[in-house]
Amino acid sequence: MKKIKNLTVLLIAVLLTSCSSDFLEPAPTSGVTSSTYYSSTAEVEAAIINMYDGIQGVNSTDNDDNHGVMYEFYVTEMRSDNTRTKSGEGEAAQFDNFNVTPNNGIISDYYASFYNVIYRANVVLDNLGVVDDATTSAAFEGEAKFVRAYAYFNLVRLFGDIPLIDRVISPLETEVQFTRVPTTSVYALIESDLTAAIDVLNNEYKNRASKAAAQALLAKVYLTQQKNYTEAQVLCEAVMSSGFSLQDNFNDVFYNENNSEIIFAIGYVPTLSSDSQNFSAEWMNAVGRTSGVNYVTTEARAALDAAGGDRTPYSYRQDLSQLSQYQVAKYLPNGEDGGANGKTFVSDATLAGNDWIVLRYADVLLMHVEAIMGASTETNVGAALASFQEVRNRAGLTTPVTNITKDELLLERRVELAFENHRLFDLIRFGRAETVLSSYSADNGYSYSSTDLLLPIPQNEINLSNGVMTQNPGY
Amino acid sequence: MIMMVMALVFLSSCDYEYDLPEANSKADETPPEANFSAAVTDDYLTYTFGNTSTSATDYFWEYGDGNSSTGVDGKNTYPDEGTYTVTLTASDKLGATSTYTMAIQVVEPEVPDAIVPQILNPSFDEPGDNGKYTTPWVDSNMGKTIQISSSSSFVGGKSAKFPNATTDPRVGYQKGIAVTPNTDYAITYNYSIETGDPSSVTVAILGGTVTSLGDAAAATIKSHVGTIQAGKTPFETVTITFNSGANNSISILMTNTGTATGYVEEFKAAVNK
Repeated sequence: MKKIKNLTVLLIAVLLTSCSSDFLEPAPTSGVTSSTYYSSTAEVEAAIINMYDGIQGVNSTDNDDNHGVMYEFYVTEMRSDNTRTKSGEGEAAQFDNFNVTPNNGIISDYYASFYNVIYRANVVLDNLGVVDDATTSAAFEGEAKFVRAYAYFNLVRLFGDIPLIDRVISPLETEVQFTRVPTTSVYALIESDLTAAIDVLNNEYKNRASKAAAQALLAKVYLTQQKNYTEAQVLCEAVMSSGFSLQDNFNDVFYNENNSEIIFAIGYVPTLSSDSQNFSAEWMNAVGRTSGVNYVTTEARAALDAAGGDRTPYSYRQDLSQLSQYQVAKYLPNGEDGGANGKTFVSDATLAGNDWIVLRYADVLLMHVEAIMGASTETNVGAALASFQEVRNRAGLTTPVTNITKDELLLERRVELAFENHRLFDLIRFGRAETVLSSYSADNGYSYSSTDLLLPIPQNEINLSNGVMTQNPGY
Repeated sequence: MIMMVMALVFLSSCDYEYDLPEANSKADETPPEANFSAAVTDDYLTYTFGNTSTSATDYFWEYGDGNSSTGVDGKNTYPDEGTYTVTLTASDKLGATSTYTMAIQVVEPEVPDAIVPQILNPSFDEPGDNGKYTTPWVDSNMGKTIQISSSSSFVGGKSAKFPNATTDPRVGYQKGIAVTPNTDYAITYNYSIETGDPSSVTVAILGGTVTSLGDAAAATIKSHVGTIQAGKTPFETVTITFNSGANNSISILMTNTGTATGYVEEFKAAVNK
């Protein structure tokens, strides 16, 4: 009995001491947690690199991985009249024929990828306190805000009203995770983030955020909302006086990495599974996981043949293994042509190192024209003609242009920036999506309707939201 | 015991009522809900209509001008300006219908004329703040204010005067002159310089506003350096033609060099067509 009493006392003593608040102190040094990790500038810089890693995506064939910008062509270019799948079958073909379903895995992949990038940017912004040097801290903040704005700009154009998360949230904060806010609120955050980024960034990097990248992106944000044309023009002119220039040879834009024309590109490194990309392989004939996607449509070939000039042979090519089909020639895996059958590569094509170009100088020159044109349907202003002519001269189309209509500008963008994921957004921004896509759809037996201009919110997000999240119309 | 249970089972099973499905016996749980958005095209008479209805299979569009269609999305070209009521009737295969109407205002958009720049006190003849004829050409951040010269040989009796620039440099600066971006303009003025050491009078058109003389060069759209020294009169007329570029406003900056006195007056601005 006495023993039991002693034991009880001992037990009580143990219980009492275990309630002490410093039970787990000192903090374990071997276990890293997110709340204790960020304690130095180097560690926050690691978080900066981590954002770009998120945009890169994971080079795998696993459906559960986030593939980031590698899968962007599915949800942009393949929904336009520029490209389609080779086979017309499977989940990817939903994008060709405008029959996208909310449970399409590629959509949830892209959605999750870019919200993950936003999370990574928010992590940087939440941990700037440990960066002692004020200049470094400001630059990090600018970079994180640029990346966050870039991610939101892609998401808002693809999905419309979307959840707006501007800080690190916990898993229990389901309301902010699933409440869709109006696009105007999303654009307000994008604009304030980019304005802040322009103030603090410089033009040191091409594979990381830069001032010019933020200026070019903000110009596009203004043009997309069809407002602030003069501000957009000023932004384009600022980029135009920042030392960028067109490559003489159009082909060099894509195979001479970080050349003078590149403003912002997502960097990839060949042969490393951690830093390479697989979209180059997917665009070939059964070299990647698919039998071939992002194949060039008859319509895109016709446009390039008629208006591409010197750009045409560097933009698409015949599939040597299937002569009735045509492939994108801008991102051939590691610059290899694939030999006699077009699909025999010396290096591993699924571990390609071609950078993905997000913003380049020709895009800015054509945005400059667009900003000057503003709300009107044509322009003959000298500055616009000069920018337009600069792009055309490089393509060998040197006949002086004296007037530019909106449709001529749209066509020039199509042939200059073909297969670089601009076409769908250009059609929408120029107010031509309805006419162009409905006739393209009718010609090919697809089923376009106006609600196809927005993707469905991924079904798994709607399911997780417990009824908070609503679907886009038409799905 | 078992009997009782069986009896219970039998009793309860006897309550069953048959509910055989008959045509139209079940309510349409997902009736259609019509909705659409309208967008004007480059041709102000033509509108496209995006169908955002839910749970519907068939559509009937009435555009309010007598035209109609049955496709998913609608498109119509109106005969003239006016207000039209567009009605979309969405129905499903059970015959349930829903309608949505929207009034469309068809108006020809006005093309705004280019702004004609308004230069204040263009000939230095209007008394401004405290009766000074230099208003609003004063900006202490840019430099010491111009002088005013009176003479019957000046239009309106007065002009801006630049004394010896080497000992007493003066600056005339008027900012915030509204312009339409990317538009061709012509600004005209008169200048004269006294005879003597080589001297000049410069008028520069600046994009936007600057806050120091050092920033002026970078902001200059176009400038003219006048070097004709034929005395106080006759005046030399200069026309500066320029494109406003990406600017909503311009500024005019006047400076001089040399020891001989210079005069500037009679600014005029016009859209250069």
